[in-house]
Amino acid sequence: MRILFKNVTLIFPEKDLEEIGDLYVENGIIRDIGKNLSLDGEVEVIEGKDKVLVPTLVDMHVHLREPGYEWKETIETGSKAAIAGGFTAICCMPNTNPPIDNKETVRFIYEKTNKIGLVRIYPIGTITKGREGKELSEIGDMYMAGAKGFSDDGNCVMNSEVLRCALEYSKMFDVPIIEHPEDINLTTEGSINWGKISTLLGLKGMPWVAEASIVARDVFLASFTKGKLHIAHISCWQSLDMIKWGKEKGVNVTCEVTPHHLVLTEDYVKESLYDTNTKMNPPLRTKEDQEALWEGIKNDIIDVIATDHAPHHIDDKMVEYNLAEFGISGLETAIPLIITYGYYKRKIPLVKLLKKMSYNPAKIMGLPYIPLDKNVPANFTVIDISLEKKVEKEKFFSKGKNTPFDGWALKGWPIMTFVEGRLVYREGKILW
Amino acid sequence: MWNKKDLIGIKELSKYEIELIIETAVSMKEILKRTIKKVPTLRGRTICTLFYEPSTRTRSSFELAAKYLSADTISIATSTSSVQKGETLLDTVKTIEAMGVDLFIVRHSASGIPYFLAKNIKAGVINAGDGMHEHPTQALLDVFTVFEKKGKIDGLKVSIIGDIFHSRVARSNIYAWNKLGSSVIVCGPPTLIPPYIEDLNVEVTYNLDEAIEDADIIYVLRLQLERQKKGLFPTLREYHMLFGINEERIKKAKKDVLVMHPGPMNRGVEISSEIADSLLSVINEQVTNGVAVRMALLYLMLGGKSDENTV
Repeated sequence: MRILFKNVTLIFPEKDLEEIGDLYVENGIIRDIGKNLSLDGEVEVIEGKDKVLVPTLVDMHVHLREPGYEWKETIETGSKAAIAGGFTAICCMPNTNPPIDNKETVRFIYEKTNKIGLVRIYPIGTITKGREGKELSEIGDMYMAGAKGFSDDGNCVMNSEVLRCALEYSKMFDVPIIEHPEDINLTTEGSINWGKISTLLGLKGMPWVAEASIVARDVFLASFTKGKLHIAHISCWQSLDMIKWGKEKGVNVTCEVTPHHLVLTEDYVKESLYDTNTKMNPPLRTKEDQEALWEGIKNDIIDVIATDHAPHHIDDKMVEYNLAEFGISGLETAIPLIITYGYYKRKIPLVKLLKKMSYNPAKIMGLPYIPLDKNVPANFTVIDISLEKKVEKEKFFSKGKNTPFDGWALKGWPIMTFVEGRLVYREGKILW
Repeated sequence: MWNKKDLIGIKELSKYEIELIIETAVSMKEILKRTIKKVPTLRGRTICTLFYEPSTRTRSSFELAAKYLSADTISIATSTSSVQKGETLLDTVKTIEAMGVDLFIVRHSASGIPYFLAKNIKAGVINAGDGMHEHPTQALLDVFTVFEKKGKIDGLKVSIIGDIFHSRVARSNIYAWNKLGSSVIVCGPPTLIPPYIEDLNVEVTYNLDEAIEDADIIYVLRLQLERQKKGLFPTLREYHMLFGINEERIKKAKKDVLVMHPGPMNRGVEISSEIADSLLSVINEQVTNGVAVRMALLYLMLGGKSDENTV
């Protein structure tokens, strides 16, 4: 296999750099990188600066549902969805059944992943046994088995002492404690953001203060313990302000935002007439929050864009709004949403956006990061930023067809995904 | 003329459509006064009442309205259907629809259910109350009752008292009165006032005297007793002291004020018996008018299309 990328846009997230250049891949290895490369013999040439090459795209927040909920997603279907979405590595959340709260389940994920061999999958273990928020899991044992971070995601660690211990204990492995910030006493029975739309639609609300108050507590705990804290899916400006404060004080805190919180607001729940695909946790918030999140992308208070890919079966969504499951299928729409709404609509440089989906999450999670460089395995994605097409949920590789974006015309789609030297995805087809 | 397949909320109705329903209800009420209360208008049409929440008045009201117009009715209650066997809502409704039902009248504790059904079935849907969202026929019968008593429905001051937060009746009434050109003030403890309610063009007060001072209509909401258990207010005693309508408090109101309540009442909590049974109260008329308004609606939605169907 010989492919020459000519006059394409090369992204170097680790150097905050993007430039037009050539890159040559031979048998899965990047053999040359530079300007005006020319080659003899049979070589496929892919040309044009609308082809964007970005290394090691990582989605650090994915729900794979296996073991336990295989009708929603499996490691195999999730792997396919990941490479079709352009990701070379993903981290899977431990809210499976049984949860990933022990070494055996960590190994199970690795063994399955190796058999499937499409995308790198790094398990995240639970903070507490059974995700019950009471006693610490065997963080060390799971770490040595390959768990890259710890989270009770889906549940907030409501007991501050338990979280304090987790932040202290995990320091010896330098792994992030990933918090799902939600004071559940404030969100009981809630379905959407607490505010204008919840009043209008008569749905129970989940107020921003449920999130921001926990973010504040967690930032203080991270400051107090000097632990490594990552806050998942922030959705309101008040949380951002707290994280900004923490960063300014030198607290070891990072955070992520999802594409859907960047693109949708609570108004969409009303416009869609209670479409259960607008039901997420945290809920879609206000226009003001959305603006603040984009500002957080620009000023780097937000470190990571992660999908919170939450596949569900149609039966879990074709029900009463308050009974529907939370979350959407996100892996296969993340890149086009970010290119369409971040790059085209908001004019944010590609390298800034893509760094939050590659270098930053890889560093936070301590994952191998393979840049665009000479003599390294091809581990990059080609995004055609002038390709415009509609989201078709029926064509998702994921079992989760639960997306609010079905039928949306988006611009900027991944067309090729190389994982550690192998071209595993190309234009709608899984190749390996 | 009428051209809607469904009636889900007052939010989606125009002023003209509300007035059309009221006008039609006037002639329907005339039928109710006859000894033989039956006209053949909806002969051959089938209506299903599907109630996923307990209800006495709304359900009987719809069923009698349908029967007075000669429609066939069936009724499904959750306790006797396959819901108990774990069937989903949509499967239940599609099953009944397949038997040839023209119109569903649905009550459900989940807000938004009528939209969900309307999107997924061909038959019409009337919302008989969904969660905390809307209860359009209640608001329509309220408007009709006021029209009968006051001879007008615009330029009035309507005070809605009580648990606004959890009330679909309050929301539907707010939309209706605003559309008709009357003004609305809502009153209750702050824990029972929903956020951003001012955006629906209503005034908010926590002071009952203020709310009833200039009111033409005092609309008292039912206080669901379970709200106290959730800590939204301390005791029923204190609630009555602050927001209960009784002979003492009503002295501040206009002499010709109307007192309304959607039922069922908690006597001695949100309203005292003395007031509920007084001449100011139109609570029983509301119930009668409920049948007339629902007949009007069924007629407009199912029968009002050709001339031979006129009453």
